[in-house]
Amino acid sequence: MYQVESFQTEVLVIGGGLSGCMAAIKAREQNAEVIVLESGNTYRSGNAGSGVDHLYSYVPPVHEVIGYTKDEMKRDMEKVAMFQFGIGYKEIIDRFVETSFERITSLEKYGIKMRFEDSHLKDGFRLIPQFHSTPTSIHFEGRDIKVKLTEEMKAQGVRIMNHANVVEIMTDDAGGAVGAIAVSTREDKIIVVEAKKTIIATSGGLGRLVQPANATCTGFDKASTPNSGFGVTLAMNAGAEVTNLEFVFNDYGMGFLGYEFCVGAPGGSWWPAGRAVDAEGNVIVERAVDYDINEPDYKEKYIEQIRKYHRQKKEMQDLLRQGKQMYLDLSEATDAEIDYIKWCFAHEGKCWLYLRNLEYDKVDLRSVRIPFVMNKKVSVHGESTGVLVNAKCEATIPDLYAAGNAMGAGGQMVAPGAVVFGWEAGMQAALAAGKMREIPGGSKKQIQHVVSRAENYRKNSDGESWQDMEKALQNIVQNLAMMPFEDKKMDDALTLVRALKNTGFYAADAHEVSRCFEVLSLIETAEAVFEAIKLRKENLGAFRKLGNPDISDHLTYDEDGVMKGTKIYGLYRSESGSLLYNEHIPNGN
Amino acid sequence: MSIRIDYEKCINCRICYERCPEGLYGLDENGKVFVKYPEECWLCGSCQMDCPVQAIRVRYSVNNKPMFV
Repeated sequence: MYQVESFQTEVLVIGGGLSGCMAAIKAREQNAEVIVLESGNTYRSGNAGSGVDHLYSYVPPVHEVIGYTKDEMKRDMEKVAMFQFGIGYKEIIDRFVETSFERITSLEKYGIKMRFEDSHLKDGFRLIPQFHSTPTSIHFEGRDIKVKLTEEMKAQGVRIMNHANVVEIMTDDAGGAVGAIAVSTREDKIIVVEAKKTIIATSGGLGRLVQPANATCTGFDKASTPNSGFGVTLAMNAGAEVTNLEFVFNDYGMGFLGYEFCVGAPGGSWWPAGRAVDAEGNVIVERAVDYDINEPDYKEKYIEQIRKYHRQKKEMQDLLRQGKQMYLDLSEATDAEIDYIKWCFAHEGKCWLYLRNLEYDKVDLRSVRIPFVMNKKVSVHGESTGVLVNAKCEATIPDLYAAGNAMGAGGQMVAPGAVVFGWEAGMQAALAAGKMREIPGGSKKQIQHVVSRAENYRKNSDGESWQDMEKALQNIVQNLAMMPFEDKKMDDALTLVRALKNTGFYAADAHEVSRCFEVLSLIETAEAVFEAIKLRKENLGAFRKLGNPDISDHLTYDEDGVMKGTKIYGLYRSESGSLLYNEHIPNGN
Repeated sequence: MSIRIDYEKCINCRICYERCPEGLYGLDENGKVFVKYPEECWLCGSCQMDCPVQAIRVRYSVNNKPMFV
């Protein structure tokens, strides 16, 4: 039988990944008592668990010299964020650009090396190009970023509770968040934390809705937990709004043969030497030049180079779609460039293990060619999908915040967003908690609900395993979620998903109980995605719906290609349990 | 199985058991670490990174490793 353990705190952080650690450290610095609930262990959990080697930022010592302004960076980010991945609040992007440098370089205080003597830029930074028109991504030694942030949390007195998977946010009669309920992944135990303020800093990307075809996955049949998007269901079931769910499904695009983890090739982590060649050796995507900041027209040269790269990469994709074969090629890379690629791989997540495996297999990067393929799987984008928040990370119900990948309406924020808005959420929650007298009590009804659900999973020996349920869900999503969307297709998908939701789970131990709750969350997320697609009446960017006479198709762009005049839709669960839309006018758009 | 533990080297410090983000290590009846849920590994490499005696190797299996020509 399940035991219940209860705790109280001022600020509760759900999820101890990159944003959760930043939130906890920042809230603690403001003298708030902080508890972190983490389903794994904060030392290595989350998308940055085994490292991150680049964080984009406005970098004044470099960008002021070359004449790249904050306004230019804001425009660059709006173009990427709003066109490809749904829409967001401009104020969030603005806040990012304004505060990113201070927040990202604050990591140096915790022992993370970001400056290098051999840099040919300013102040020791190594910058690489990514989404913006000039290089903005600080390249650094981040393999152990989570280890260092965990040590910092411990030193500051943050209470870390590992192996506790949060499954529900508690709310009070006024509809505000008052803490959360977690299941232990190791014992038959429920952990309840009552809190003045609750921050959702859980996984964002929704990769587990399909069999992996995303760059953060590895070609296994299972996507990683950091791509489960738990923040969406936690928030939605608590009555808060979530946004941009209708944008998540897409064609995957390019991958490597037998391996979907191509880390931005032929640019990205293969920069600058990576290039794409065809079977005859013709160069389709040229390698890049790492310009020296002292060269005249540095900025203009980069802008031209990045435009050319995108043009050539599109040509490459067209050729792949026509069935032509293409290769990643490093044959002309210098020794120093190969060493640089290996240095960056050693700090970038699963690339560390990729390097080890290349060594075991005695692979020489310069002499092999890596075949590109066009992956036909459904892909899931989650970058601007999540809990609807403002630039202070406040959700639409009282006392609830969201940060990092769980936060929606922020565009393509990923790891830099986790640092910047983890800090923001921690600071805002701590400041607001300081104004509250008492820690509110939790909901006994909700606690009992979680206890009986967990106990039922253990007893229900006729039920289905979490693995079978996850595969069944992925089967529905992969076959019915391909664009273009149609309302009838969504109705069928909803019928099937709801039938699955009513199928009982069986769990043999505490680990499996936690997994069952995860898959239930995935099922509820899929349900919300299909509902959101049905509710949406506007085609926009990547979103296209057929066969609905009511649907409007009014895309408005300004002279820079940034979308204008669109609404933000917040999906929420009404008191009757059905899902509905709220419309918001984007602040400052 | 992709995770290989060299028990000649392993000092049973349990760092892998504590830190694996998917909780896929278990303890046997003698309190020794073993890979309890191998199919849940997504190759993050954390256990190998943090093993103080290099007793763990995470190998790509043939069906999901990158292919070269």
